[in-house]
Amino acid sequence: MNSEPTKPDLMSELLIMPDGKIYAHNLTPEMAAVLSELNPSDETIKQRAITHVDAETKKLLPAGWDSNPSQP
Amino acid sequence: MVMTSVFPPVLSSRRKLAAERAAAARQALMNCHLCAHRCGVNRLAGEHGLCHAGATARIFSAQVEVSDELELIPTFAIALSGCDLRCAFCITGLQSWNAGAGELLDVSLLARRAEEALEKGARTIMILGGEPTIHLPAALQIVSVLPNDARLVWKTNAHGSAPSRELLTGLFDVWLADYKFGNDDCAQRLARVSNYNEVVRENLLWAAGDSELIVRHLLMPGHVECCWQPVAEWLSAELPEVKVNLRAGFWPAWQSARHAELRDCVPRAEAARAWDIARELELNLVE
Repeated sequence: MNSEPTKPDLMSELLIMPDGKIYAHNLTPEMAAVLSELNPSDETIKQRAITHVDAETKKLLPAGWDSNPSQP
Repeated sequence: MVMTSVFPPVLSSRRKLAAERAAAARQALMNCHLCAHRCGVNRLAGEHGLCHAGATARIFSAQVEVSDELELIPTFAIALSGCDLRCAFCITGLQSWNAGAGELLDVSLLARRAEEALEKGARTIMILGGEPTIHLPAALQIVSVLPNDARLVWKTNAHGSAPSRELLTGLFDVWLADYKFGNDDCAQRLARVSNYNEVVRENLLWAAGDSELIVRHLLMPGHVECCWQPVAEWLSAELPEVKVNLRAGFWPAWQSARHAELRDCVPRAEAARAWDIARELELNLVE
């Protein structure tokens, strides 16, 4: 039997500052979705979270939902 | 309107080419000049240069991520352990300063996971570190098992050597390169690297001709005038069209506390000043 602790498959790191600001590193789609839920008005995170929307959900969203403002 | 790229599509025989070059890169470990430190050690015989990397590569992370540039995400990011720089503020210092961290590379498993990620919607596959250049044989081996049509990103500190660049020519769709320090004194003090600016500039100019290039600068507290400003001015003058990602999310990781100015995040006023510089120089900013 292998008793070694298993390494998590996915990992993100967060730093939460005293003023409530959250810094994220190695952000997974799942964590982006969580952060977006915490602060829905944060467009930066929102743009990253929407990349995680699965194919079935995409069908329900309005046209242009995933338009990327940084693209020409 | 039809959009065309100035860069040819990556070679359809990329896998084959990468496999051939992986063999050449492995031979190069006998007299290692993969990065600009040019240690000249024989890594195949167990000698270690400044990066302390041996002949085998390890990975400390391989997962889908969304924290990189919007045009690249979601990306399946493969992080190789070890680096040739010693940035005090490294966010992955534990793994980047230790080439022995993480798990031994299993190329077949990695290829399966990468393909699965692509099938689920990952837009790119990114090879990074640490610094992938010091593990060029392994990095090329990874490329040799990835789909020819996958969009590949080479995430680098831009401290590679000319022989390394030659082995990388035409294999990656995007070079995502850090330009961290605007002067060699800060580079030496914070990352223990000499002649930094000349090397990075040489790499950036080359990369701009080889593939799409995105340059990143992580804004450090107290380093707007000494680091960001000269970086921004050089980019504006030499690579005026290049995409630039100015990142203000510095956090005092790893050994930052050894440097008084790096013990906190970037003050709001400094970030604002940095953005002003970028706008004044009309940099092509991306998120």
